[in-house]
Amino acid sequence: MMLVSLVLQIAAIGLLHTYRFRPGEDHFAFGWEMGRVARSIALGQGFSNPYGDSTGPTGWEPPLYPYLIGGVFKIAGVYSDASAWVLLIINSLFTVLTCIPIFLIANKVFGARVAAWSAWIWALLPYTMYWSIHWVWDTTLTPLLLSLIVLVSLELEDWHGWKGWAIFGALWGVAALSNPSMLSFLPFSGLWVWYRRHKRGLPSTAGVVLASAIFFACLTPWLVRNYRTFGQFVFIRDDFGLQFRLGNGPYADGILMAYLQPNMNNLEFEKFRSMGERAYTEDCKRQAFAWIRNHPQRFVAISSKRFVYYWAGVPRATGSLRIFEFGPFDFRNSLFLASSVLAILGLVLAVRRKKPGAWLFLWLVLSYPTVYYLVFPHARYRHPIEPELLIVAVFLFSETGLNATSLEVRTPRVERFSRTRFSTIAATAFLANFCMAGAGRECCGHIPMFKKILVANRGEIAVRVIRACRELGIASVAVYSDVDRASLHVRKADEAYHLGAAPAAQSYLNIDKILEVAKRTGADAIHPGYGFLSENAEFAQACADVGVKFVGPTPTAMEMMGSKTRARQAMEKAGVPLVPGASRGLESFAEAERIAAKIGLPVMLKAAAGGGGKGMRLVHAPGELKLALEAAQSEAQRSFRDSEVYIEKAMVNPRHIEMQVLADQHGNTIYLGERECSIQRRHQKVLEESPSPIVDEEMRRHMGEVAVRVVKAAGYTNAGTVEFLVDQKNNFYFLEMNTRLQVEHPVTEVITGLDLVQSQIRIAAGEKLPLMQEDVSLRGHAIECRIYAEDPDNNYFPSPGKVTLLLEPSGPGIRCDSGIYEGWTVPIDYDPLLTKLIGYATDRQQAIARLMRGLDEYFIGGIKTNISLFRRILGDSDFQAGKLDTGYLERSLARPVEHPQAGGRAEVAAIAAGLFAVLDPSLSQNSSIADGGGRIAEIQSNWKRVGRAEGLS
Amino acid sequence: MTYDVSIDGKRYRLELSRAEGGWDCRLDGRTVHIDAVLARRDVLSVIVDGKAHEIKRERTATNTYLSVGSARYLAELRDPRSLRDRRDGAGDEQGPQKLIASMPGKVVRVLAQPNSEVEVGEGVIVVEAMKMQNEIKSPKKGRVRNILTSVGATVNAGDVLAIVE
Repeated sequence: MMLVSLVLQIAAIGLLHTYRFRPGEDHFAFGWEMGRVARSIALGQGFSNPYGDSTGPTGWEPPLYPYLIGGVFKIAGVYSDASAWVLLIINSLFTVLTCIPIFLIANKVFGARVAAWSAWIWALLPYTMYWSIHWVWDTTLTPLLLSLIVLVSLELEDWHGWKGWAIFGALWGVAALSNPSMLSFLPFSGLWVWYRRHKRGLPSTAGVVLASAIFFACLTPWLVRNYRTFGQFVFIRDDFGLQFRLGNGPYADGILMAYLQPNMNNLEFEKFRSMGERAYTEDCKRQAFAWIRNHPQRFVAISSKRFVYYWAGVPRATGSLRIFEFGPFDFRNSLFLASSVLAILGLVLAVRRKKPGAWLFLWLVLSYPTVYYLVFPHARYRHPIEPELLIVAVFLFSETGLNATSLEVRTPRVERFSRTRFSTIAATAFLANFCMAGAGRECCGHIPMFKKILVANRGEIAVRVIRACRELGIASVAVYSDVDRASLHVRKADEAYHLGAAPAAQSYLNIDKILEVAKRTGADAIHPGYGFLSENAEFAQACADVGVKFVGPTPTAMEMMGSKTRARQAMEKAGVPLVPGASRGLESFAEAERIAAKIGLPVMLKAAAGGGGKGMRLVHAPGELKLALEAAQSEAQRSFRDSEVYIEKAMVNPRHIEMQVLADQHGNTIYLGERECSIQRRHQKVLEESPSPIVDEEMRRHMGEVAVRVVKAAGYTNAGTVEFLVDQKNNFYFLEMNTRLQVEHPVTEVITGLDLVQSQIRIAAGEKLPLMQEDVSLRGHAIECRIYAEDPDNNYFPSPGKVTLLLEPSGPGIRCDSGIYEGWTVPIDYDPLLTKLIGYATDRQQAIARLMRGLDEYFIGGIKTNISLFRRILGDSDFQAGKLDTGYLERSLARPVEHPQAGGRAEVAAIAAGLFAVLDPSLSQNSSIADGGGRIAEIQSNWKRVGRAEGLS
Repeated sequence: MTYDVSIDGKRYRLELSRAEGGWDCRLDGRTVHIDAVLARRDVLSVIVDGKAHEIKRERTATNTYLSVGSARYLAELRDPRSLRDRRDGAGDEQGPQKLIASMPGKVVRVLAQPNSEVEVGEGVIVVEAMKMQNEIKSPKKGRVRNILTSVGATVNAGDVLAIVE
């Protein structure tokens, strides 16, 4: 039995490649903190550095398992595949060995039949193997130790002499050093043994003393080590404060707030490093307790949730089973829940039948999980008591009509019991079987998708998101302002709700109103698009507070990237190249002068909270600095209510190149190639392409790896963009990170073949990235034009109005992401981006030709657009040669416009003017005013008045 | 049919007559045969000597534009037989002139009072659209006869804002 199980598990490790831990995230899942401590042990640095950086000796984890990993690392190599194999096989051995205590416990309490079934199920159930072959952690050692403890406790009942007590003490010692959370069961097991022996008239006092002595003897060396290290008493591990904080605090909702972990969150890590782990954990504990004191009701509420999650499974966690949901909680883990229910029914039955040892089982089930009700639950935290749960569940089945041919002679009372309870238990069994089918789906990575998404945006991006929802089979909810009732996104969505007046503050920025619509419609997620609320951490938090998933990063990561100085500080620490300058706000003019002298002129003053070119001043000469600083500070104060300004070396005509990244909630991060966005007007991108003409394979890899580092340092999840400035020598420097979907995302979609909006939604739903970095390949070349309603002949002044005629391009290699239609009036209230035209082909030259052809086909009549600008750029020899920088467009626009050669086309126009009049007389020139819009009568009366005046004069 | 056509200010005399398979067209004395189909409203397909052209028409509140390929022309059409059209053609600077909003927006300031004198190019009304202010200037020297809007009013493209005579 055990051999079969072991062979199966080893085969699974090899076939499923579970030993391949991705190196990107410092071997995520390769033991996490324990793995890093083990690395330090293997490298001779002792039990230290739980977060990789050298933070010194630690008591962050219990010692046993890290030393085991460390030993394996020393022999088979640090983070090597060989080590992974060895460790996963050791884990499998722990799982396999657990069969022995399972058999013996079940045999003693419930008889040979239950024992054989229990041990076989444990040996063959894929679920138990999941833990041993996926995780380098003590998850499989703990159930072995705990079941041995239960076994010894049962045996102690009639064990004479001191040997049993010695084993009991030693086991508890080892258990405490492996996973101290087992200790909550220690008093119950001890008292149970004492009580049972007492009833039989057996003495226990000497045994208890002996066991205690051995227990403390096991612990003493480690406690002494801790005392020496920290100068104070630390019981086994000292990260309890952090764990407590991860489950309790603002925004806690009964599950782990993973984004607060120092390995996910650079700011927390900085606190950990600067405060030292003792002070840090105390600080976390203080915060958590303060929060609980101020929110006692909330604490009770989330603790009840944690109780449910412990037994029913945690919603949206990895590796748990979700089939359907109902009621106030997410019962997504029906198999998990069903097994809990079966076990508890079995336990109740065992207690009622007065089985020997049933009370020990009960105390275990009552005591062990308590700590998780107060901290946070996880599917793996039930695993340590699962051997006992399995035994009582098997007992339940053995006692019902399911084995009617049972050899046992039944008393009439038992038979009556069987008949009355049979239907209940059969139904539960059916449910379990049904859920087994669900387990099959889980193996294929099934994760429940959102059912309805609210799109908190308008225009082309709202249409884009609605399209992705439609493709994923998700219902979409549009929202609109007074002037957007007739907009395309409202027409395309499944549901649409009015928000308020045209000004964004009353509609698309109105958080309360948007959340109200989300609540009313039952939307389970909100996609913010770009602009409006997309980078508003407060909004993301508000979504979390009402239980609607925000499709984007966590508020913490957003806040960090929202402050340019904070982002710079974090990136500096992560070793990301930055434009020379200061990473803190300027305190004084003298400081500005000193730094300017150090980095050399010209310098750029920038608002820390800045964006869109506001609060920015370029300084060429030392004399200008003082005035520029004052101006930048006051503008920053006015625009962002934050006068913090920092200083950076001004780069002369750099390129602007950005890297698209995707990060899931499981620590996987990939980069999807760069976008060249150097063609800008007044710091606004106009035309973007991918790949960049100057980025080669090596530079892309280098840039991509830096981008991934940025993402990790910020604890960032979902789609994001890391922006770089690139100098003439192709050195690149981190500029900022955009924590949202970019306008120009389609060029990346086209050349990678990925749907970024769908990816965003899938990541938000908890799915893992479907591909690894080596699976990403770039094909061909794509260029995007941002087509705006603006007048090229009038300094690109916005020119909204009615679209009287619309002819859209199509054909090979053309994608048109449009937010307009013929007959629609572009409102004056918002950004005048109409559509994005993307041309793609196998190489850059062909992509340019395609886009030119697409622009020729594109006709937007009635309003002015910047289409002619793109003809000019695409036809320019510098552009075609890839000679681009952020000054390109300003220089190019300063040159006189070459008017297109008439070539007899004016004559054609003249003839057409007549033909239109003849062929379409109903719409001759002067009647056109009637198309003007809602105020026809007034306009006509004006015309009449003027007409009369003309007649009179 | 005879028309006086102005394309970007250049004047043409156009005569059109129906002929087999299309039109005979006389433009400034030259005659060409033309095959023309109105493909849809505002889109005309024209074949001249086997050369195909697609002409798109845009009619804004004040003007008509014709686009041939990427070239866009301001087109004016007059029927010389029409009394009204003839008078319109008498001269651009004569008579009352309308100040028209070229885009939707909000009136933020009125710079000239009714009955005040204005110079050519002097601002009369300021309209704000998309956070940018646009001064509507007087096309001629004269007297402001009417201000047809007020500060704070929302205007659409084509609305007459004032009349200068």
